[in-house]
Amino acid sequence: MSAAVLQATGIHKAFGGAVALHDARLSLHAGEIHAVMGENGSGKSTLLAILSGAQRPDSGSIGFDGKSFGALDPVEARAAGIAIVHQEPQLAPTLTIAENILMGRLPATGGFLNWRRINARAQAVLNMLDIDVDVRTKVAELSIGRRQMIEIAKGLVDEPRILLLDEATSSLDEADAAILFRLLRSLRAKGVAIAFVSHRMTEVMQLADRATVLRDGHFIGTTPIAETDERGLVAMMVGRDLKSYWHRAPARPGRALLELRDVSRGYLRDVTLTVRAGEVVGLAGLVGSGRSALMRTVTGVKAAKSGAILVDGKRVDPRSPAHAHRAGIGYVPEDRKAEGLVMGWSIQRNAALSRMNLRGPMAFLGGSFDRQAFADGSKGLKIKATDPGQRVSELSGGNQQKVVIARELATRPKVLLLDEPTRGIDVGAKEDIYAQISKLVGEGMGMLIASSELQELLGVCHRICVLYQGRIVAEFDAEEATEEGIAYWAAGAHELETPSQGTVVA
Amino acid sequence: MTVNPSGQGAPGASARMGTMVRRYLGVGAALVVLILVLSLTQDNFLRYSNIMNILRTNAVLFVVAVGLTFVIVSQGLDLSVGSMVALGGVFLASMLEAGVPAWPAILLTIMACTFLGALINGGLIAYGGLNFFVVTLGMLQLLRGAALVLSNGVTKSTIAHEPVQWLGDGFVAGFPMPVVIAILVGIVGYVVMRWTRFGRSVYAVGGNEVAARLSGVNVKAVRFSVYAIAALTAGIAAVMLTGRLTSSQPVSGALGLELSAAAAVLLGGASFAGGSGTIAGTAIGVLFLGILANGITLAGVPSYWQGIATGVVLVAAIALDRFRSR
Repeated sequence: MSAAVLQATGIHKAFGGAVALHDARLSLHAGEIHAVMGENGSGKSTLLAILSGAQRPDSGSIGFDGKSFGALDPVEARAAGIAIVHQEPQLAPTLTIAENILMGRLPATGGFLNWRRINARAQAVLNMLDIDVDVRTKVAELSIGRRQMIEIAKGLVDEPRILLLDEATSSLDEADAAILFRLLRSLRAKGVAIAFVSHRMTEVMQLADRATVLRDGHFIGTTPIAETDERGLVAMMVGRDLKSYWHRAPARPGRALLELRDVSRGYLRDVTLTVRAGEVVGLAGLVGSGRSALMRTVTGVKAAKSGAILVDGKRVDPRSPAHAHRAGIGYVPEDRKAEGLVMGWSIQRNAALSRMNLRGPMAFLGGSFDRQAFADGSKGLKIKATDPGQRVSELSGGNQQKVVIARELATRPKVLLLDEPTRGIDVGAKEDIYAQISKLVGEGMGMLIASSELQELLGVCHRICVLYQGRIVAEFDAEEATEEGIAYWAAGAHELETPSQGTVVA
Repeated sequence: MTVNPSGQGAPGASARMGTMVRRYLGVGAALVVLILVLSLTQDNFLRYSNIMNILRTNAVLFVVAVGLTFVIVSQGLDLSVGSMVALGGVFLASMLEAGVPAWPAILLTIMACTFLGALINGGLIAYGGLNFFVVTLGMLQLLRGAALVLSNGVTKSTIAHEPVQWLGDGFVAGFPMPVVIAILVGIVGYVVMRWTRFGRSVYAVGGNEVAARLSGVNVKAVRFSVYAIAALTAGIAAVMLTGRLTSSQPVSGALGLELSAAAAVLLGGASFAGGSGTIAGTAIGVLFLGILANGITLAGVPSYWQGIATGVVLVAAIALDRFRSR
């Protein structure tokens, strides 16, 4: 490993009164993949933003190209070969993929855009990422996962020497993530310095050479991955030793709480599935396999075209989310900001949103209604806030996620559906949520969890169903499930050869 | 639970007070200043007759603005309420002329306006998925046109019809009837928005439509209802305005009323981004615009300046709010 190409020391940054970084350090070498780790609010994103020039530090110095700077200029940083990829795609949906990738540097001849060159250059980047989409497609037509890949393509188009990835994989499924990792490894071999922020421990262990851990804006340490393990990193991040990160309630399956019989809608085909009381069932599958579509069918967002959905033995066939709630189905959607929370509302008002819909339209909502809903729903969730009347937008991602869960629990559901329950939240909040799931299941609730993190499913579920192209193709018991086994079915490998693992369902 | 470790209700209460103060401080403070200045400089301002005059002349605006508050909070806009008021007046006058007794005619007018607004605005926007701006802009033209066609552009006197005159210009126990109606409409609107599930749903739809839908709010029904409510208040305002003007005014009646009402709602703390705004805020907004106009008249400034003053105040208020929230 060569000398540092980008080195930040003594970085201090405050937003108003809140100190985001306090003596933060990071040293990037050419040809390494460097994980930047820490809980939410530890200052990882701020540090990356400062390295890309998007934000100015209050003090500290950045060494780059043998010179020392107080702050970098975003335009000069980009010209000098520093690229950043953001967690949330920053794309113009009405423009094409090619226009987005080359935004701000569209090649032109004599003032006119050279479309052939634009599309060819964009196509070359997409090829590197194995994306098989026409570059003239509008971004609006792409899924979240695809958009994230386009955001990554934007970062790669200038062939940067230093690539900063701010949770770039949080909305990718395992297949896309695998493509990205392959690419990152080949960039590393070419001598590119890569820093990436990720909450997925497996990614870090597989990919990174070194890791730098921040906690509450302080530099905790930099360590070679080979010299540590998951436990060690988590201990550095939270400042204590986590005994059991996963919580799996002992399996005591009772009566069937949720039954799907041959449910079809759109590309969902004949899905049959049972969730029993005291049981956590996982839904695995790639992006586009129908995980979210299935959840939305069960919760009545889009009613099933055929088949039957039963709750606690009674046929319900939910027609709307309100109908599903009344029947005892709770639903925590995938995207807490866009689909879960009213950001301008207080915590307790958000917590009361689902429960109020169980009432009649002219029902009186007194002052205690919100407080009671929050108290009932949030019990045991350890939501960190100054006051239940605090705006939910002021909370960290993990606490926001807990508020959405509290909102659903306030309806006292029999079955709770969780779509990506811990995406992009810190380790401590994850642990709290797993503990809550385990406790509720122990009390007799049924859970259906969709996740693109196989580790998570393996850690909390009693059974795991694998979706592939709208069908459940395999089902595993907790004991027999392995990452390889699930990935085999999720990727559709069974279509190429005779089945070797798992139970064939369809 | 980690929330509120002190275990006291105090922080909650003070936080709520804080948001209350913030919500009303801008325009509320400006209103107080305006009242103080006018009280000190204009002898006639604080007279009972002048105050009643302000309230009477702005009752129609307030009633329309109450309905529009529901629409704007739901992240919509209804540009057709002014034309609806004009058409309602023509409809009322025509029925009276045809010999329909006054009270049934009044009720029919209000019902017809509500039905029309619900069916076309509500139906096309909520269930047809059309853009609210396009639909209500079309309706602004269409309803005004219908008022002209139905009346041939001729004003019809309603002075002989006692109940209409009473509602628009009469008194009850020495108190102006239109002000009583406006207060009643305001109270009902306030209670519905503040304390009912439906009111909460309107805020939810305006604040985050997807979250509202997934948590069980019937978003289409809410959208449909807010346009029906706006049309209902426009129908009530149509009767009041006809009474006050003692005639239907198809050409000039309620011209631009939708924009004045929108200005009042925005001044009261609502935003086109949706999810914010209150009936109390709207009341402050209407009072501010009304007192400003009154002050301009009292000070002997040509009334042509009124538009300029309103525009400056509106943009300044919203700019101030934006800078403060940064």
